[in-house]
Amino acid sequence: MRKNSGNFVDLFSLMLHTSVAEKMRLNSTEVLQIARQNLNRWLKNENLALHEWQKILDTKAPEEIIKIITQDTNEGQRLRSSSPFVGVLSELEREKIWSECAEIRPV
Amino acid sequence: MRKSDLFELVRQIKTITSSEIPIIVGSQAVHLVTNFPPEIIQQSIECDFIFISGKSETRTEINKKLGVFSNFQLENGFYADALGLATVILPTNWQERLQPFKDEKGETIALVAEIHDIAVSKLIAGREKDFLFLKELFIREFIEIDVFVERVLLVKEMPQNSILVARLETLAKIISKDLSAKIRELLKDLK
Repeated sequence: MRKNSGNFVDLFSLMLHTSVAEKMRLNSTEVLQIARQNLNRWLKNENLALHEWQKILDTKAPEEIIKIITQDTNEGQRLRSSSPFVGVLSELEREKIWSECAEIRPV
Repeated sequence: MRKSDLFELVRQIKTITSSEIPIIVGSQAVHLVTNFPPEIIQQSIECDFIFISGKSETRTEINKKLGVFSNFQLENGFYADALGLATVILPTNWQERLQPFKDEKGETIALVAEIHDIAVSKLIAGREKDFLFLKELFIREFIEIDVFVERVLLVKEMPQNSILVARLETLAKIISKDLSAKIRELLKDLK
């Protein structure tokens, strides 16, 4: 089911992950390493959503992960909301995407 | 998200906007009604907030500093979503039913939308995860069917009323027979 990324936050998250996907196409090893490091750090607090991500990273090919994080569906939004890909984009890249998103949808 | 994480988020929000009281409007509101929140709440790493002033500057600051992909999330593994007032649909007069959210010392640090208002908000949002959340609320008796029905009727007068029937039909399929009978009665009134 399409979600249409209704509010600013959902659209912003989708745009962030589209950029993460671009980086993953160039260097999936580095991007996935950052995600794994985040999960290892965060999983000190037991959390099923993060375990779900750990399983995705362990079992899916980079192309499949790219598809998962960029799908504009309820499922895509659900998974992005617990995404381990924070830190893949620089602060500057995040700011740029923020501005682009704010032009499309009011904050 | 643990309650202690929620305390931390609220404290961080207050360092950004000391003049505004954050209002918790998402599923994390369950922390107010139980010390043993269901798994679906514990596994979430985000919390939705709104602000009465509706100032976009406040939302911008919070989302930039504490939001998704922020340094705060990188360090802590959870984050805040500051939403616009128009994004979250709550039943009429929800402001009058807000509850205090108190920290470990008993001090009110935020407000929380009342749990039945949250339930109706989730019903209107109508995503798969929202129905799972609603089912948990009913199973664990965090909400009462009669109060829920009263709150749903408040939406009847709102622009979002057109989606109520479809949403309630979905809900009736996933809750117990006794509860769904009440929902079906409500549906008769709405049709």
